[in-house]
Amino acid sequence: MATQRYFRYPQPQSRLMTRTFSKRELILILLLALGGLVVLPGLNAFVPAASALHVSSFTLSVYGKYLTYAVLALGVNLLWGYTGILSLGQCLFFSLGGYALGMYLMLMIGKLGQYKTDIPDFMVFLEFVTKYPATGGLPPHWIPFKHFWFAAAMVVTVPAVVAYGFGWLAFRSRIKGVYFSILSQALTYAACLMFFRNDFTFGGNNGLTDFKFLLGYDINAPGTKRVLYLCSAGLLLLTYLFCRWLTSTKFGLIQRAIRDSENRVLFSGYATADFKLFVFVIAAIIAGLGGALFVPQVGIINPSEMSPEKSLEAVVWVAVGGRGNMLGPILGAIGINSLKSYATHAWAEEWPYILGFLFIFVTVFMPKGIIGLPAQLGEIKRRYRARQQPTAVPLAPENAPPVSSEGAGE
Amino acid sequence: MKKNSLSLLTQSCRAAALAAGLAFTVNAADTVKVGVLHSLSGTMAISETSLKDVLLFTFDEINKSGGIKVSGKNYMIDPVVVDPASNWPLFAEKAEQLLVKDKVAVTFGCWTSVSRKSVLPVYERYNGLLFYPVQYEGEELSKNIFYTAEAVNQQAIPAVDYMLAEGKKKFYLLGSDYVYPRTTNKILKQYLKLKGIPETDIVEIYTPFGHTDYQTIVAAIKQFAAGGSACVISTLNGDTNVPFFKEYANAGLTSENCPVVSFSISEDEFRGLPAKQLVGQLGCWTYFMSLKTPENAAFVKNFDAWLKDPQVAGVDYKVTGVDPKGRVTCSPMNLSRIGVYLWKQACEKADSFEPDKVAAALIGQKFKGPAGEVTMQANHHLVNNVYIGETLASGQFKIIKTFTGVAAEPFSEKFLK
Amino acid sequence: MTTAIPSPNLSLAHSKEFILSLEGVNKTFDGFQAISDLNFYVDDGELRVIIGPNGAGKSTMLDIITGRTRPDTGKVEFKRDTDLTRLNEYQINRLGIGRKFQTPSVYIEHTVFENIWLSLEGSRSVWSTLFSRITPAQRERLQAVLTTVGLSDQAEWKAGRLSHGQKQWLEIGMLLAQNPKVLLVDEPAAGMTDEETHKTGELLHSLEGKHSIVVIEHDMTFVRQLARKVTVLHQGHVLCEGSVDEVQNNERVIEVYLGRKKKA
Repeated sequence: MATQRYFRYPQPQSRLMTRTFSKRELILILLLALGGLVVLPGLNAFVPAASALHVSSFTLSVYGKYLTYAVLALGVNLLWGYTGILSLGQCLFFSLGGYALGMYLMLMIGKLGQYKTDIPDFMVFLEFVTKYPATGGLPPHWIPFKHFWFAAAMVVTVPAVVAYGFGWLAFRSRIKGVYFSILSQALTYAACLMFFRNDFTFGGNNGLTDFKFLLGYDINAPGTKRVLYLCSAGLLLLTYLFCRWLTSTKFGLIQRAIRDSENRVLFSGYATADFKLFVFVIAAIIAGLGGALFVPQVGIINPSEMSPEKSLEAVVWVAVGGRGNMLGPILGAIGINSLKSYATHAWAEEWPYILGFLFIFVTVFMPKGIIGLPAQLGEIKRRYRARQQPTAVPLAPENAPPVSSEGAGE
Repeated sequence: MKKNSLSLLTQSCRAAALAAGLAFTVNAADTVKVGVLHSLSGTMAISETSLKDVLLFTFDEINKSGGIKVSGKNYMIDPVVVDPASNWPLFAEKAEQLLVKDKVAVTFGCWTSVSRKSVLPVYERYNGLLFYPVQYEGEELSKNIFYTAEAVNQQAIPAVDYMLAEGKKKFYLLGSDYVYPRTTNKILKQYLKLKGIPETDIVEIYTPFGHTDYQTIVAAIKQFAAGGSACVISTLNGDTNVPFFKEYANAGLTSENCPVVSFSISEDEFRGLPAKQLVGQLGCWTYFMSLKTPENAAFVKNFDAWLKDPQVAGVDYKVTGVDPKGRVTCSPMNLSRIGVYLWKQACEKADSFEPDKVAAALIGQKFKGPAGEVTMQANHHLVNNVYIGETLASGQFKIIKTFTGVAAEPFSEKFLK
Repeated sequence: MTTAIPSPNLSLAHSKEFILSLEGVNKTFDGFQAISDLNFYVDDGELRVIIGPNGAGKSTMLDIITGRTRPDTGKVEFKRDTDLTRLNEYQINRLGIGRKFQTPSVYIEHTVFENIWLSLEGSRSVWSTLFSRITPAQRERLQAVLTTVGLSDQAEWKAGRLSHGQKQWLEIGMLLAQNPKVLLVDEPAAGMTDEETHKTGELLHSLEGKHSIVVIEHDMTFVRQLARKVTVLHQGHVLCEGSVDEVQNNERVIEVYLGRKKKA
C-alpha cells in the first residue's frame, strides 16, 4: 500500500506497512496454484491410468467440487471474517448461480431426455405445453438460457440483484447481528420452499439434472471434467487474489472498522450501509460463480442446496478453517469436505459424531480456527515464558504467520 | 514439530491403507463387492436406514447359504456401505466412488426420486448396475437401473379400481408438491376420465413441502364428501401426514364416510404416525408385513433374529448402528431384498458379475418372495402382486383385496389406452 | 442539504451566530421524559461544558444533535439554517459535527495511523475508498494530528495496545482529522489518571477558537480546569448557565446536583 512510501516508522507491523502480498505468501500461493492448476490435472491427463501417480477423473472432479465450495467460503469470510456480517444464506446465491447455468445445461440436453423432446423432461410431465403453448411448453423466461452468454451473465446478475434487494432493505433498516443472520436464513429457506414448488418452473424437488453437453462438449468426458476442474481452480485463485486486494485497500480497512466499531465509522461520515451492501453483493457474486461451476461437476442442482443447513455448513468451514484471513476458509472448505468424503465411506455409521466432535473442539478451543493454530501455540509459549521470567515480554503481534500448506492445495 | 507429527500421521495412514489392501487381496478370490447407497444421516435416514439393515440381512442370508456361485466358485457378498447423508450431490459422488474406487459389481440404493436422478448419469457413464426399491412415478427407463419398486400402475391404478368397485364416484387427489404425487395424480386423472368419472368430480390439490396447516383443505374435503361416495387418494409425504390425519379426524371424517387411501405410508412410516387417527384408512403396496405366506413368516422371523445379532457371514464386515427395537418389515424392505436375490440368480445364470451379462440375465428372472412370485420384465420392472390393506391400531394392515400378477409399466401412455 | 460546503469567512464577524441551536426539544422513551423543553445554544468557536447528574439527558442530547435519536418535538439546527432532525448520522457528520463517545470507540485491530487515516476529511464514497491512496498533503495533516494528540510514537501500534487514556486521545485525534466545526466530547477524562486528565484539558483549550466544542463532564476538577461557560442539565432541561463559580453557587444546582455529588 501507499503508506509505506510516505510514512516511515521503525516497526512495520501493520498490514498496510507491508506490501499487499508478502514474499512468503506469494511463494505459498504460487506453490498451491502450481499444484492445483498444473500438477493435479497433469497427473490426470498425462499419466496412464495404471500408474500409481494417476489422478482419476473422479478424484479430479471431487476436488473440483471442493474448490467451488472454497470459493463460496471465501465469500462467507469476506462478509463474516472481515465485515462482521454473519450471513446464514450464502448458499442461496451459490444455488442461484448454479440454477442459472443449470438452465442452460437443461436446454442443451435436447432430444436425449426420457421423452425425446426439445424441452426438459419435467416440463413434459408437468404439461407445460398447455400453459405455454406458444413456445412449445418452454416458459418464456427459460428461452434466453439457450445462449451460454446469457446464462453466464445471469450467473452473476441474479445473485447480485437478489443480494442488492435484500441487502438494501436489511442494511437501510439497520438490521444487524443475530437479526440479520436469522433474516438471511429465512430468505434462503423461503427461496428453498419456492423452488420446491413445481409451478415455479424450475423443476421442483428434482431440480435440474441429467446434463449432457456444455458448449457442445460431452459434460461427462474426462477432458471436459478436467477443464471444469481447471476453471474451478482458476476461479478460486482469482477470487483469492481479488479478496486479498479488496481487503488491503482503504475499503478493506473500513470493512474491518465496521466489524470492530460500526458506530465510529457511521459517526465518521461513512454511510456504513453502502459499504455493507457492496460487500454483500460482492460475496453473492462470488457465491454465484462458485455455484455455476459446482453444478456441471456434480450433475445436479435442486432446492435442497438452498436449505438453511447448507449455508450453515459453509459457515462451519470458515469457522473451522479460521476466519479473518484468506487461507483459513479455503483450508476449511477443502479439508472438511475431503474428510467428509472419506468419512462417509470409511465410517458410514459413525462419521457425524466424529465430524461433530471436531467442529465443537475447534470452535471451543481454537477460536482462530486451524489456520490460527501456530499463532495460538506461539502465544501460549510466549505466555509460558513470560511467567518463567518476569521481565517484560512484548505483547504478541496480532498478525499470524501464514499457515503451512498441508491440505490446502490438494 | 508440526511437520514431524504430520508426516508420522501420513505414514501410519499409509501403513493402514497397505494393511487394508492386503486384506482385500486375501479375500479377493471369493468375495464380490456390493455397494449399499442409502442415507444413514440427514432427513432421509429415518426411512433409508431400514433398507441398509435389510440389505445387510439379505447378504448374510445369502452368504450363509453358500454365497453366489459363479464360474465354479462360491462368492461371498462383501458389502461396501456408504452414507450419502440425504445430500443429492453427495449421492452422485458416493455412487461414483463405489463404481470407480471400490469397483462394486452392483449397487442397491436410493429412496427419493431426486437421489435416483442424481446418480442415474453416473451409472450410465460407468455402465454400473443399480437396484431401486421404492415406489416411484415412473416415466424413466435406464438400461443401468432395475426398478423393483412399484410403478404407478402397481399402486395407484389398483387402488382406484378398488375404490370404483366400492362404488366411489368422487375423487379428491391430494399430494405433496413432489414429482411422484404430480405424476401419479396426472395419470389417475386421465384414468378416472377413461372410467367415466366427470372432471367436476375430480379435485387435484398439492401442498408445499413441509406444509402443516390442513384446516382449509380438510374443510374442502368435507364439503366435497358431503354428498357421499367420495374418497381421498393421498400422496402426501412423510411428516405432513401427521397434521393431515389429525385435522381429518377432528373434522369428523372417517374411513366410513370418506376413506383415504395413502401410497406413501408403509408399516415403517407408521411407526412415526398417530395410529388411532389412521385406523380404517387404506394403504396399497405389493407387500404387507401381515401377509400369511411361509416365505413371509420366515422373512419376518429371520430378520427379527438378525437384528438382535447383526452380522454378515463369510466376510470381514462389522455391522454397526442397528437398532433392534420396535422394528417392522415393509414393502421397500421386501423389494430391496428381492432385488438382491434376483441379482444373485442372474449372476449365477450369466456365470459372471459383468454388468451387461447380468443385466441380460436378469430379464425373466423369477423369485418366489414373501408376497408371492415376482418376475423381472424386459422393461426392468417387476410383475408383482398388489394388495390393499386396511390400517389397524397396531400399525399393521389387514389385507382386504389382492390383485395378482400386475405387470409394472413405467410409461403411463402405455396403460392409459 | 444545502450547507455541506464550509463557509470560508466563518470568523469572528459571525461569532455571535449560534453554530448549534436546540429549541423546545422533547424526547420521551417508553414514558420516560429524557429531554423536556430543552433550549440550548452554542456560539461559534466556543468551549462549552455540560454537567448534570446521571439521567439528566446529556448523552441523549448528543444523540439528538448527531442524528442517532430523533426528537419528538422541537428544532435542532446547525448554523441556524440546517435542520439536523432530518439528517442521519453520517450526513450530520459530513456537515462538520464530530462526536467522541463516552467509552473510547476506536478501531482496535487497526494501527493508530490507520485509525486517523480513515477519519481524515475527504470523500466518503465506497468507490473512492477502493482506489484511494494517501497523498503527501494528507500525510502531513495526519502527522499534525498525531502530534496534537501526542501519539506520534505510537503511530504503528495497533489501537488495541493503547492505554485507556491514549485511546481517548486517539478518538479525539480521529475527530480532529475530520476537521469538524463542532466537536461533541462525551466525558473525555473518564478513566484517566490525574495527569492524563490535565493533559486532556490542555488539549481542549488548544482547540478552542478553531472549533466549537461541547464537553460533557462529571469531574468538577476537570470542569474547573476548563473554566468556561457551564450549562447544567437536570431532567432533560437546562437548569442554569454561567461560569463555574456561578453555577456552583446556584442553590438549585447545589440541591439537585452538587449536593448529591458531595454525598457520593
